[in-house]
Amino acid sequence: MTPLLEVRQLTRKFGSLLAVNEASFTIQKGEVWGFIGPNGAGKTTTMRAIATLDLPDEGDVYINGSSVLVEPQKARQTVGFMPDSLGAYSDTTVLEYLDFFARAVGLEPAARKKRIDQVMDFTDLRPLAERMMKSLSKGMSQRLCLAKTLLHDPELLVLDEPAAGLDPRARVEFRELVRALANEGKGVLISSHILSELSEVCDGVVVIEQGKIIRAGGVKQLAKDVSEHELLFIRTLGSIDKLETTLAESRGVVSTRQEREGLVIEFQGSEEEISDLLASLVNQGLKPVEFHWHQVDLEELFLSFTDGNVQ
Amino acid sequence: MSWLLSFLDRRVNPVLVKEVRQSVRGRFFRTAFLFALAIAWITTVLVLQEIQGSRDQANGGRVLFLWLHGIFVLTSFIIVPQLANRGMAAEQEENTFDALITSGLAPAKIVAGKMMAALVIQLLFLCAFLPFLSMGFTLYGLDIVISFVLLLFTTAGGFGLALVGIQAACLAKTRASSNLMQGLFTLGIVTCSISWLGFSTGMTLEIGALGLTGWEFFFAVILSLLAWFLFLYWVFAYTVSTITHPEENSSARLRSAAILLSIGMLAGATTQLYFKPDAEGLNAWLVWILLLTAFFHLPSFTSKDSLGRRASADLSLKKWNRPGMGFFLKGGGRGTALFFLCLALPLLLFVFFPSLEARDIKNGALAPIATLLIILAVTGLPAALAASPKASPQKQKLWRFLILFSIPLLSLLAVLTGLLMGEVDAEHPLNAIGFIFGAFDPIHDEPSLSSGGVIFFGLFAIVGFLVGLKRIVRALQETRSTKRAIREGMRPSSE
Repeated sequence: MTPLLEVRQLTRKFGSLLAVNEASFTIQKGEVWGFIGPNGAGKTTTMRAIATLDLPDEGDVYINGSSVLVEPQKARQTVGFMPDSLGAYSDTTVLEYLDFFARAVGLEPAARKKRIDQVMDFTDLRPLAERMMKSLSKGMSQRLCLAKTLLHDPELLVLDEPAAGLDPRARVEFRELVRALANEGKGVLISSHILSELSEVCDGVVVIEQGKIIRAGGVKQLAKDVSEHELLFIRTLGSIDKLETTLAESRGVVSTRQEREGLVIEFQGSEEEISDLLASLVNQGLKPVEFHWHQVDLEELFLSFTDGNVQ
Repeated sequence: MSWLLSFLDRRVNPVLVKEVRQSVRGRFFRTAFLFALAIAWITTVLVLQEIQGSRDQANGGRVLFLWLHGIFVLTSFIIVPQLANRGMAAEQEENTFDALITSGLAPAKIVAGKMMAALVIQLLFLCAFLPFLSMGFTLYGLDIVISFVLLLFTTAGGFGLALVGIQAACLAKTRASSNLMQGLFTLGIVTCSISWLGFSTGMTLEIGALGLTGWEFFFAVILSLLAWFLFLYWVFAYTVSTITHPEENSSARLRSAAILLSIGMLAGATTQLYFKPDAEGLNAWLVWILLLTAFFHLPSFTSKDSLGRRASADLSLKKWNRPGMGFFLKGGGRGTALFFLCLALPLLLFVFFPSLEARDIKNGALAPIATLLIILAVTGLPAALAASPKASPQKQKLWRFLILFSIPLLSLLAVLTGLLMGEVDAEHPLNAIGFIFGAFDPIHDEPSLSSGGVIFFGLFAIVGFLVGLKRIVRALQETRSTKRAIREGMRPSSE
């Protein structure tokens, strides 16, 4: 099956700076992928190349099998790019802004009105229709930017730091919007510094550092890459030292590390052996109040892949 | 009517709608519009009052027209281009340009929309001035043909400057360079408006008053407009190419800087006419059109011009297209053909204009031919050297830098030569340009350049011309080989 997005050996240099170095990854329809990396890692450069705003020095980007180098106009019909900040026109209302871009994407008058109504409803912008763009808050601007991005009903959404500057409520709303879009079958590539935000919506992640893709894959698969063993979390009443000592002597426990008020256990063994471990802990007088699989979040993944170089 | 509105709703360029809407709502336009109207009204009242009190009322219409036209020139040459320039610069500064590009609007459509918006704004100004201007026709002394031609030229001039303003705004990548371009552009349009005021006054007083508006005059007007719009189409093509390839616009920058510089010089030359408004001065003015056209296109002879090559690849792949754009952007044979076409148009003007004062064709044509030789000498040589496959990137930069500054260097050389010969007044540096023309312009009774000077420039001319010619021949050969490759089913390479 032709992937919705295929970045193939993408390289972009700015003078002597190698911004993106042979980056390759793919996204299928209906998937949400996170694009994570430190500042200056090459995320925005890659996204701009996908959105046909920058030309790679080497490599190519394929949208539904079409090269952005050869058919940029075709790619633009398929891709919706949302930059990290909305460029606001002076003396223009929200409705006029959307109307302009609806005209720009070539919608006929009847279809234009219908589509503007749809995206305004979807992004909850209707009450702001007559507001001047310059007077919008950050959250409102981001919603407007998303509405503009959705006008031509793109199959692939490329969102560059969409949650930056949003308050917690707006973030939750935005996350829901992204999930809803994925449920409609759209592919989404989303970059963010707030990794906890991405964990909740992403099916996969691409980790980039110094222009090089260092990991790309499904979140579960990458979690397995972090540790080849099962990860368990346990919290007991009483001293954590006693728990640690007991676990060190238990069969199957490879390592432990403290997290919050409990321990994350790297365990080698079957589910039955996990059950035996819990039983032995109880038998030894420990009182477990939490015992479950430990979910590796994106922050952990990112830190393990990038040697902790978060910037 | 509803059909028309519906048609416009579907067909009108969205950028045009947006730009006009933004401009008309903007404080700058509203203030300028009201201010211009107020000035026009006050001027009309004052001039009418002055005419009524005067014994000589025979030229009242002309006087009123000249004043009002002057205000229209200032709005057309300064406010409209500034609006266009700011409109494009704001897209870059406020991060809206990316949204425009990714919206699916073709770059040519974006530029066209902004251009047309400038024209609409200009027509709004014209409509506002027309009632005042029409008063001039109720008085004596106004030649209707001249006044119509002047309004047409002013509108075309303002429209062209707006396009140059759009391109100037496209070039800058940083805030500092944006400010620099803005400053240069403002300087250019102010100079242009002063120059055009002088020239139009001269045109009205000399040609209009003497009734020299026969068929030759109309022919000259049409040719002038044609040459101007050809030039503008060129600017348009390069503007589109610049925004299509923001990553690679160094050569476009060079061209734009060349345009601005040339416009400044054109303005400088025409400013002289303000002090000497006679038909002879037209020769110098037309020579400058020629120079501008040639100077602008010469860097295209450099085959390593990456913007041109990318643009060429775009055209081959039909990424964007406009009729005839290949002529302007592809270089090679067709570009060269157009280059000579642009040269030929002003030359044709020389054929007809001298008849106004009974000058013969030979005399009229000598000045531009001589100028062409000088241009080829001074700009053709570095252009050809920059195109050399052996030239390193540093050397290419140096040669291109020389192209850019060749005209000021030429002036400097002329001044130095003139000083050595004791034939130029050092206190009037603008006369250095006039000095060059004077050497070849047969209108002057005595050529002011000595034989030594002629040999000096002549050698440059011959070398530059030959090297330039070689480059053209090579370009033609490349075009032929590309055509052959296409015929044989091979895809032309973009590199």
